[in-house]
Amino acid sequence: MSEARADVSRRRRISPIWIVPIVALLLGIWMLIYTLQSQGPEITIVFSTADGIEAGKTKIKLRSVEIGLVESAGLGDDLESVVVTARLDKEATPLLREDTQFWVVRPRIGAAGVSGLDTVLSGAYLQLAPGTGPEGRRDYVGLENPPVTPAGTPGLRITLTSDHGDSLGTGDPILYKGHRIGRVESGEFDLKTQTMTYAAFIEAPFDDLITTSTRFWNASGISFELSANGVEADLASLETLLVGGVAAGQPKGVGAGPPVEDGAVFALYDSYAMVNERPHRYGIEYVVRFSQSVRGLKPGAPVEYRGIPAGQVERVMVSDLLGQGATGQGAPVPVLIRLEPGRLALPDTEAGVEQLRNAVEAGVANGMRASLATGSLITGSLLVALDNHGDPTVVEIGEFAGRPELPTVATGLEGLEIKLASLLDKLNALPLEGTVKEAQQTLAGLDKLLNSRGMQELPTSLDATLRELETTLASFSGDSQLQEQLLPTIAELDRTLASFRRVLDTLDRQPNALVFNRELEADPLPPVGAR
Amino acid sequence: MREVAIAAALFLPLLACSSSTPPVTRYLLRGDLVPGSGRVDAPARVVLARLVVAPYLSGAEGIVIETAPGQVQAANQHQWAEPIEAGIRSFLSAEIGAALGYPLSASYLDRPAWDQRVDVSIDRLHGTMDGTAVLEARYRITSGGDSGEGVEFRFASSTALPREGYSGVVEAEASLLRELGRAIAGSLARDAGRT
Repeated sequence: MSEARADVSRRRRISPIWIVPIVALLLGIWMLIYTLQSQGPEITIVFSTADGIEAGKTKIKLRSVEIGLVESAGLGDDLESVVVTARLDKEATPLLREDTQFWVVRPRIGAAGVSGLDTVLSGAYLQLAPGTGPEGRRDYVGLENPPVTPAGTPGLRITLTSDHGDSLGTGDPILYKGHRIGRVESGEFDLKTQTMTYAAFIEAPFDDLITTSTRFWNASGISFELSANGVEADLASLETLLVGGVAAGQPKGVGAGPPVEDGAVFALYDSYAMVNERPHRYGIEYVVRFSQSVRGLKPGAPVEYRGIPAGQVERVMVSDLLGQGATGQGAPVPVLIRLEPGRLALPDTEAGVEQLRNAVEAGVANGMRASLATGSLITGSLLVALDNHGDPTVVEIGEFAGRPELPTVATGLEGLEIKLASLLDKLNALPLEGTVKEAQQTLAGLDKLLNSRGMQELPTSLDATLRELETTLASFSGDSQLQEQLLPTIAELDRTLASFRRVLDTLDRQPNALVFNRELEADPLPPVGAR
Repeated sequence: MREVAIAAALFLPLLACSSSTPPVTRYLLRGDLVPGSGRVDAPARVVLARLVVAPYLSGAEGIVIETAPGQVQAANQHQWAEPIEAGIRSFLSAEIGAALGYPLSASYLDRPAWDQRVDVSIDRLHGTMDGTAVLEARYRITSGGDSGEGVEFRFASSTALPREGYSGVVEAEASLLRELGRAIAGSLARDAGRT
């Protein structure tokens, strides 16, 4: 009898209790994916300070619509900045572009006005200004101040430079004939060039007004001008009086030039009067050195080419002269002049400058020289005159103190003095002594000739010759005997020739007429007339 | 026979030369002029300066006859005794002087300084086969020296031949030239009175 054996096997089964955590896990994964898909992008913005920014509270707004929230704010790695992490709504993702800007909106009181008062109660928030560049950027540097011009605004960005800090500030208006066409966006002092540089924006369509010949001047405050007509006050606008501003326009007598590109640089003049003192923008500086007194030659004195204004005197380069170590040697005085193509009907551009430079080089090669000329006999003011003096000496444009130097020629009294000295030198070089001796000998010989017997009798002989000539000529006059005899002779000769011609005619008709009698026809007999 | 032929050949030209030619009659235009009398000291210096004769007259010695309209022929046997220019000049100066009453210089050379000057151009002067003689002329009278402006006149006339033949032609032409001289004298007198 067999013994029954039970085969016991353990059957492994998953307990149904695991369904719960699995479902929970799947649910969690789904929620994670959903959350990830539904939330917006995370961005980081770096500010210099987190003043007014609170994690979980500070909102990000666009046109007063909430589009995100600051999640955290902490110090940066350099401990000198604050890195703010924020989360935007998913719908706001397209707003994150390359030139998108962020700044903190908080109460501000400045020259441009009061803003952000509403945040006194609601708290500061981050303002987003969408850009127009490509999408995808997630790290930004926040602006400390609101941008004057929103990104993407159509217009023209230019740079204004000034030698000194003008009373201009961010947001100051730029006026064209009193109308606001743009604003100053920022200003900073350039240590390297020691100049103030202002970034300015001209709104469209007024950017068409800005050309190469446009000039900008400080229109802040009131300008007074005292003249024979009295006191004239000029005020651009009340706004510029209070907060400052820049005026734009054309110099007197100068038309609009070609349009400028974005980023063009313009000088900022102190006043419109200064604009008109130097109405042209481009020019070339040359050095001219004079060996005569430059008294009366002042900065601003005209530089003329054959009477045509071509530029002006910048300054007498005394310091450069001393720098050359030429003291005590009677060295000529260097004068810095500026030639402007715009004054000579050339384009007031870099191309015009190049044209003018080439013209000056060609002129110098052909004898053009600079000289001092008297501008006014009463005041003794001088000017620099450029003209072709026909100097055959080939001279190239030199260099002095790092600037091109034009050759000069002495004119006026000094020029006369030099020419006189040259003339005297030539006279000294002439063999005058020998010439005078030869002349004396010649005069002695002439005197001997004149006192000779033949020369003494010459008038009598000449008189007799003239009388004979007169008699001879009289024989040819119309009523002379020769004429009376000659004319009948000529008439007789004429008749003889006529007879000879008739003989020839006869021989032509009758060749044997020399031997035989001519066969003469009987003459016709004219009848008696009827009475 | 041979000798006879040679002699005939030598003598034949001589016989030809020995033949006679018709006689030539020469006429003097001023043949019938009577020497005038009158003042010798002229009140005005008048000169017949330039006399131009048409080439068909000056180139022929014979008296010209118009045989048909536009056709002229100079006679061979009837010729002028002196050049036609000289004859007309002498004839006209005599006739003008006679009409004026004082002598007229027949040559510019005789009187280079003048008060009145006459220039004459004879355009036509000939007889015709229908028994007439014609004269067409122009003359200019100038006063006031070389710088004066002249006045030009025209003269045209014809007359019947008084007799047959060339003597009639010469007589008729002299008659026409006399008329011309009187006309010139009248013009000179009027010009002198005007100036």
